Amino acid sequence: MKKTLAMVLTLVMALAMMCPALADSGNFNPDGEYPLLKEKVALTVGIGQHANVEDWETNWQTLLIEELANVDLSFVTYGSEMMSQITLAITSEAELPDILITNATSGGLSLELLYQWALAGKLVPLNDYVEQYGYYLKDAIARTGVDFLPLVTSPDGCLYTMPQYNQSLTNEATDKIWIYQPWLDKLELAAPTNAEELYNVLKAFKTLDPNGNGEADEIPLIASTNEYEDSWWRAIMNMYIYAADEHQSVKDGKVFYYAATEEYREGLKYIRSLLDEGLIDPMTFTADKAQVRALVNAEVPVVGMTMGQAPFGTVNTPRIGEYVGIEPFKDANGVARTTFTPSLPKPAAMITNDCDDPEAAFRVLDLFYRDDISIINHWGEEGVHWERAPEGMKASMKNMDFNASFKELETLWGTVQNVMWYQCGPWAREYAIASGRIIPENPLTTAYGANMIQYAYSAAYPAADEYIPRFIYTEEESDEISLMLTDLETYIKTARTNFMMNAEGMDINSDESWNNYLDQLNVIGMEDILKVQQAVYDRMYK
Amino acid sequence: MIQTASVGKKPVKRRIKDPAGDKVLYGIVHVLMIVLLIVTLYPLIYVISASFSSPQAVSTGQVVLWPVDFSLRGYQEVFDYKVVWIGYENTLFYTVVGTLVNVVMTLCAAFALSKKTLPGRSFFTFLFTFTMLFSAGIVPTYLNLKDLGIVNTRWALILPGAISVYNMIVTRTFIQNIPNELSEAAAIDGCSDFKYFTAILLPLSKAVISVISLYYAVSHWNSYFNAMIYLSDRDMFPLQLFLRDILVMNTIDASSIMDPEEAQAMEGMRDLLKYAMIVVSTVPILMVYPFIQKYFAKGVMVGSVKG
Amino acid sequence: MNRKLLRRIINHWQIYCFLLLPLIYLILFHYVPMVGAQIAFRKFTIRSGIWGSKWVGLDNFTRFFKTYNCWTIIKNTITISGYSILAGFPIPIIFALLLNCMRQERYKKAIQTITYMPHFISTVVIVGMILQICNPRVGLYGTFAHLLTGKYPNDPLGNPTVFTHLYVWTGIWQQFGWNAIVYLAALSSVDPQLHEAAIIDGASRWKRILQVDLPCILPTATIMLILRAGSVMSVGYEKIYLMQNDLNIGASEVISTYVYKLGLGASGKIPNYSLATAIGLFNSVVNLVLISVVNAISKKMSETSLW
Repeated sequence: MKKTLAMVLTLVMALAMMCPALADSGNFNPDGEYPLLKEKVALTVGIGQHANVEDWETNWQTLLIEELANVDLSFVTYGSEMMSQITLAITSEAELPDILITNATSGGLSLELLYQWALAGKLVPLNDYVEQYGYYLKDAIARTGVDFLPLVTSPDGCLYTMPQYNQSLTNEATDKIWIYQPWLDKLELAAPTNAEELYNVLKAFKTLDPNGNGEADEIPLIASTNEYEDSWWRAIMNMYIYAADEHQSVKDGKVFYYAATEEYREGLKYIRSLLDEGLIDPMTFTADKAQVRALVNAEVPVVGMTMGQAPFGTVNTPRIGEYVGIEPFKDANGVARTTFTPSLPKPAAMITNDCDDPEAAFRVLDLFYRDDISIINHWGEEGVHWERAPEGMKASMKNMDFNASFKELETLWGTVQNVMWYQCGPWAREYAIASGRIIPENPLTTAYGANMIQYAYSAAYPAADEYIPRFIYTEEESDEISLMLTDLETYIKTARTNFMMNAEGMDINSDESWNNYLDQLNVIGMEDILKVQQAVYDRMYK
Repeated sequence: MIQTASVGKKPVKRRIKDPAGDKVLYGIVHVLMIVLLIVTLYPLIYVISASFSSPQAVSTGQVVLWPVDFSLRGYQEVFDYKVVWIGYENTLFYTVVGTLVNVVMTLCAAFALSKKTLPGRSFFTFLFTFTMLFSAGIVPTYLNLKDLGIVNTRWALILPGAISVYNMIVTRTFIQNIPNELSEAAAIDGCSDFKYFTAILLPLSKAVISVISLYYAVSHWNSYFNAMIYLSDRDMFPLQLFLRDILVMNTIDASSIMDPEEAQAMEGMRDLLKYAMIVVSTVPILMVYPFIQKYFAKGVMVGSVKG
Repeated sequence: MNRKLLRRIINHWQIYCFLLLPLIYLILFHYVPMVGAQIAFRKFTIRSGIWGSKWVGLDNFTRFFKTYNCWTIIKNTITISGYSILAGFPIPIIFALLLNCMRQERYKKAIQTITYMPHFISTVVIVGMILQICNPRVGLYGTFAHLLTGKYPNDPLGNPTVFTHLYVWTGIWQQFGWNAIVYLAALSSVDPQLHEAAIIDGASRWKRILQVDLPCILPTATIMLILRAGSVMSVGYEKIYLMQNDLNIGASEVISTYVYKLGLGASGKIPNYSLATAIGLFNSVVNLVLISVVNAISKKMSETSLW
């Protein structure tokens, strides 16, 4: 009797061990039914302290998730150096929370560092979970029409993170050109469309005194490179060569640095000539945002043109509607081009191997991809802070066909609130959400201006084989080039500014100067970097 | 009549006129001080004015000297911002307890190293100074604290910095300035080192104790780095960590922001809270100095050494 | 000889007691982790930890020296540091001496309190103010220049040479009041009888400053200078990082900003702890050499020295 019992027990145990999936789905309700988990599970979440979220524990979205999933979340809050803290904790073999959410901290987590954490054995690979339990995640992939997971998969083929992914048309064209319409009207000029016209319009702004105050105080073109924006020059450079988002471009399958080409030099020569004549203000390189804003909003208007996602500094000011977006400039062959900054997924949430129930953790995180929760994560409670648009209503995107998606009722963004997670954690939103958002026309917003001109920029994107979304390096590759890459990027940036300003002996019109620059690029290691990047490109995109 | 020495009392009326050279000197000093006053007063006035201005005025650079668009919103927001109170409590704790630990340890070390007859004095001083120059780096330090079991505890903010060698050297210098005759006389009277320390040295060192207390207190009050690396519990964060979060909130991830209005909203909130928070977090520590100023009174050493 | 030494040690037992706790602190928190500084000689990865990482000898150092702008970085660090010391060291001393000779007590106290306040204002705010004042269009600088010459001047922050001057003098502006506290405390322990004696001898105020006050604070000042020499390579990164732009980077890139950009501070990138520690070690060695040299010189020239 005892022997039989023992045999039966062993058999049952063996069966149970051979079918882990069966054993675990015991706690899961079928897809689409709530709550997700039959028995409550407790999970710890490591997340960064966020200035706009009052209290993760009592946040309305937290309570919603806890209710829908039947889970109890407790939070471990890190400071603004969360990545360093986690790295150090891993090095010291300390215990980590079950779930890590890294996009609450400014800067976020890079794929390279993520891979290092994984190599240290602290992260759970999620590929199988996506297959078995990724109900909402798969729906998100279908909604967006893009399988964004490969772009956050580590070089060993494993997916270690559940990313955030935002598709937004207006974010993909960040180098829009804005011009002060009242001056164009006064001087009876048309918006410039190419290099020559641009020169003439800027010259007219500078010399013909369009603001009518008798002083030559107009600033034809200014931008601000302080803080995170350093792309104003791309709108002009695109007339000579495609100015890719990072410095590497690809043509006919070959990766190259466009900052080392003759066309780039021509573009710099042109920009130099504009700076030389005072048509672009040198304060572009040194002033911080507050100062440029002060200029844009000066009593008597002084700024003629700016570049950027929106007319610089006009948010919430009376000047909002007066800067109008114009179509991207055309090159010598009449082709308009603009820099395409593709929407890319970024690491957001990870499950650590200190978690006792990774399947449950995955299902909870998967819930964040539900279409309304991805919206809640930014705009708040449905019906209270936002509501869906009526059927059949069209979005305000000019010349582009989008249905209206939703309308904001009360703005939570920018305040200290306790309703939503401020876009932290995993989420995915498709183009229709961003482009279909109902934008108030009165008073005007900068989003409205962007919507009016987006069509022209969407038409000016490079072809799919002319840009590189992202490089994902293996550890050896990263070792080899990461320092060189930092140095090279810094040098190209500094050199570009010096060429534009004719500073530090870098004269764009002098062949010797230009050749020295090219030599220096090679000294820093451009060739070696390109070799590696070519290998990565062939591996990922061919 | 001769000007009598004033020991912390109101100056006696002068009967002898100052020589001409002195008049010129005093004149120059006065002018210089006024200039310096204006030059150092400006940033303070700026910060206070900015904290009382509307955020739009601040972010468009309109605030130069006086408040523009007077508004109390900044302060309202700060005091509504609950974490400020958590931060205050914690910072107070770290400052008071930390400074206490600091001053005790520093005085002990400085006293010991001030004795020129101590065998090995040079060696020990070098031992201390070496740590001022060489540090192991963040990884070994972290691992060490983890082994000591104080990561993510309040002690991580108090123990690692218990002695600032710089402050210890300053204290030692002051102690060495106390005339040798004092300690010799005490020794003759049979006074032990311990007694000398408590009965004679401490009372005479009020000035330097005040100085290093101020230095340590300010350092604790303004510190955030250790908290940033070692703490993972919001209830222990000091005020500066929260303040820094707001001030440095500028690496906005461009792809996840919907539109410039929202980017602006984030900046707007930063600008709104920034100056009010700076005032609120700085004023308390500024109040400390006047209290210790009185220990700088002249004549502390008068009459201590006869002959 | 040995017995005499032994006797001296035993006589000083109480002093050693005072030294005990600070010494334990020193070893536990500073010397124990120093073993881990060897990651400067290894290729540190998270999963291998300190001991498991591959030994690469001097590779990290050569990597640093191979950086294309390595020597510019070092030169900038030394220039900015040296300039700061040369200009910034005497000023708090002079200020303390002059302030001390003022006779109106309340006025004096007010000036003391106000001049030390800029020290508390965070770097972010100070740099924001600097940028605003120097703006060639709407800032004070620009408006004055426009009034005087009718034209808008070039942006001072776009000029590498101006950057260094601006950085150093705004640093002095912010810190001189605070740095003078130590000297004021030292001056407060000047024996008034010395001044009385000087007055009787007919010395003017100026002479008294030179002959009574100055010698009194000279030991403190000397120690301060030696200590300063030990931090020449350690120019802090935050203020420079905020004042940096592409046009002045030839003069504004220093070791600390370079290390910061390497990923130690920039969130998310793989922090290169090995390289950062190697550079830190290099800094420390240079600082050690400098401080030893200055200390030796001071020992020869006066009685004051660090060790």
